[in-house]
Amino acid sequence: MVRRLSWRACLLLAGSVSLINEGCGKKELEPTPAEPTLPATVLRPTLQFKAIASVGENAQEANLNTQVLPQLHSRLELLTIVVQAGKPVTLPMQYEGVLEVRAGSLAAGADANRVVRHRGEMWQVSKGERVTLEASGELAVLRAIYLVPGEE
Amino acid sequence: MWHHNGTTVDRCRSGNPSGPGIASSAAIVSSVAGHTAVIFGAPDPNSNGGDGRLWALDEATGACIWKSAVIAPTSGTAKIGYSSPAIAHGRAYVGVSAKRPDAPITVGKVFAIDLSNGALDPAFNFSAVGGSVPGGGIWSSPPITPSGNVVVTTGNSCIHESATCTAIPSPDYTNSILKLDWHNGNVLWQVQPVAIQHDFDPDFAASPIVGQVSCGSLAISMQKDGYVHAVDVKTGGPFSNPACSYAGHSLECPRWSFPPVASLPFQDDGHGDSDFKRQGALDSDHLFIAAGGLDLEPPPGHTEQEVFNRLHSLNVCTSDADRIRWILPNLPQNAGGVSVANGVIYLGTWSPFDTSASPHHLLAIADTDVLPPASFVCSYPGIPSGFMCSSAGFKNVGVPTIVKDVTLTGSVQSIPAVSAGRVYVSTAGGHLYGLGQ
Repeated sequence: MVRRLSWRACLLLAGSVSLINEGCGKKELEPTPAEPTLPATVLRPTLQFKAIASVGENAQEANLNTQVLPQLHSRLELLTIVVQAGKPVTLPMQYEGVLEVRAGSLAAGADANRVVRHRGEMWQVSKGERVTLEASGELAVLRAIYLVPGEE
Repeated sequence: MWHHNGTTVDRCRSGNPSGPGIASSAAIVSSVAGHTAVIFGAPDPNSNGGDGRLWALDEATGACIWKSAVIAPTSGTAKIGYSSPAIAHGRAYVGVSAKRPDAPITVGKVFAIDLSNGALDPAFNFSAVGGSVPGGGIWSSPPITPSGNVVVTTGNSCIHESATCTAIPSPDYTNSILKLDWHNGNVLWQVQPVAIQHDFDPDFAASPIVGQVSCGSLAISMQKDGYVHAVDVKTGGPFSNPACSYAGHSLECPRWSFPPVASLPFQDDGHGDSDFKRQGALDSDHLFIAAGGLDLEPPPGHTEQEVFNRLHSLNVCTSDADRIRWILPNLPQNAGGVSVANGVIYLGTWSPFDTSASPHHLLAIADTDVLPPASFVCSYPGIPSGFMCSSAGFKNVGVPTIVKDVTLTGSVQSIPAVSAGRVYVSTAGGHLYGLGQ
């Protein structure tokens, strides 16, 4: 009786060990965990780009936002400007403002004063200034923030 | 030693260095029609002035075993660019990209070539776009997942590249990391971090890495905007998650992104071409990569170049709060592609478009598991003066020790290779170095 029990115990033990080994050995190659939890994307309206009239198809702009500043009797115009590779484009500045390179890089300024500007760089532009831009790569993206006076 | 563009090469010679030349690395494969073969993509000078094919040459003699069917015809807009073949299932998987960078943009495709005879596998089809507009060139090399599927990264669409390109392709697999079914090229999941309407050329130049880590199997890559994305490989598919998707798309979410993101896809104008173009290396749960970092948007007083000139080590299986293991900042040039062996990271520095003999560096860096950090730096290295790192919500992380700094002639555009105690690295200045470890 004792011998039979110990034989059964041995069999049970061997079976358990083999099951454990099987379980450990069968590590899933590509486990499929639960989906990461991220907040649902709030989709923004697609920007409507249009060619900048004075420079043709090599530069396009889209309005991001217009913010009225009543105390200053003015408004802020926020635009995204895309400059495509190719010939330099010259943008006449209608208002005073700030340009910032958002993506890519470009050379800005007239020949003698041409400066390569990289992502994150900002510089001030004056009303009436003619800013020459040439994308260093395939395209460059600028954000323009203009202060437009005369808004009631 | 044999070479492949001289008179000694037999009737299926290739390797004409004119024009696009050979940009991709070769794969070495045993048992290709009884040979150990070197498999690579190159133009065929005897076929319409340079039709692109895969070639299999005998590893010992250079004799031609086969040349594949044409996969990038001279008459088209594609070439086998930087995509090196991935070998699995008796096939070589290789992608095509534009002949000249996006001038014009081509249709990205992946082909499967039968290793026994160079025939195109007609059952495998992957095009990065549907319809008539091009996009999604394959500029990188596809890795194979543990269960044999193909991970691939794709290039940009033609949106914003041309005034005449306004149509959104359907399907749209541009600017994405994708898992493809190895049998037929069907898409099993797609992560497209930047919505196509905001595609300002942030495509994937870095090849994806696939690794089995303690939290599963991950596919990891980095876009040119400097964001790293890690995706669960998962069994089967197709998978998608509406949280990261948008109209006309069935996108999956990455497991994590670095720097962390609030939601995907991105819908802003800050994702474009930059110097984040080199793949990283994975060693167990530790990733080494020249990625953007928490101050990817350089704060006032800091430059984009500072962000390019650093290497990160990341924990791939932790929370965002513990993602950064260490940072090596202030390198003399851009941090390049890396290799890792025995806890030592090999990194070359590079400068874009520099083919001169200007001095650059090969660094051997001791992981902080091997040697204690040489110093510490804030995990947001560009923290404005007057702010304390910890009180600003960041933490001090180690700066690893550089155990060897070798000055080389020319920019290191390539990834160092480590074999049998030596490091091999080439430079754009025309040198190949073999260095003792």
